[in-house]
Amino acid sequence: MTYDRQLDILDPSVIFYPVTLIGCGGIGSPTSLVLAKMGCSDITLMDADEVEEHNLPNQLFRLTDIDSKKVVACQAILQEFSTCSVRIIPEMFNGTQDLSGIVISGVDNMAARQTIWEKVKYNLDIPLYIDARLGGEVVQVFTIQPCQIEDIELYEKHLFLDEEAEILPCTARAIMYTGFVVAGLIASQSKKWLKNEFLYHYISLDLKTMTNVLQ
Amino acid sequence: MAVKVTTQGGETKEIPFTEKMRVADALKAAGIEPSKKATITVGGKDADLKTIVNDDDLVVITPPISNG
Repeated sequence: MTYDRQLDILDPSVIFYPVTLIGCGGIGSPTSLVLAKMGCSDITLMDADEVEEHNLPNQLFRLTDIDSKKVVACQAILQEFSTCSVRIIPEMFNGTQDLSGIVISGVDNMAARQTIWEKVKYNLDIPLYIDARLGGEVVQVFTIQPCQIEDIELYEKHLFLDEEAEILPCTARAIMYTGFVVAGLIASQSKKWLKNEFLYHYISLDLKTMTNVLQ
Repeated sequence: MAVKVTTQGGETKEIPFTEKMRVADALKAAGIEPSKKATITVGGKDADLKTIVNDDDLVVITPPISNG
């Protein structure tokens, strides 16, 4: 693959770090595709779930992927669309697996985020942690350097218990375009960090009211 | 003279601005009761219920979301 059209925006040769995506659903599946197409050459996907019919409208999967492990299906898709090397771990992150490089969380609950954060916080092997969250048409992206006190304080202010999360009706939880918006934001934030450009550490964008909070 | 109050994922309401208005007053006028873990910004800066609101300000309530 040649990256001539993006070299002045992001030259893939500056992506020194492997990327681990935890969660391969509404956030993780489109993000993996965007990162692979952008030039990330080493991606690990971690998720224990299988593709279910209700995942098809808002996740990257093909009709034929039903009942397959999400990481297996996603790996096959990335290999069709890019030259990226994709490693898969078909299990849930439980705090025992090693993490290094750029770590991206696209999990679907706060308990899992807490477990990831305990592994990531002050971890010198993880220079960049990106946590994304979805809720209806709202997308949030936290771009955190796990050894920076200001980043830690900002992130921990936005940790809460699952029972404190906004409860959305089953029929208003997810739609495909938010997944690609959040994937684009994650990729853009990664690029800004890689190129040492100014970036916001907290982005909350509502596609319904078109309001944003940038900090 | 007005203030806009937006709940992300919800709607934007415009309410009349009054002198010495605080966020709590703006939310009450807009009929919005944010959840305990919702975050509030005024003009893009962190705020709380006691923060003073100025004419033409945008108050944004962001609910705690966690899906993936």
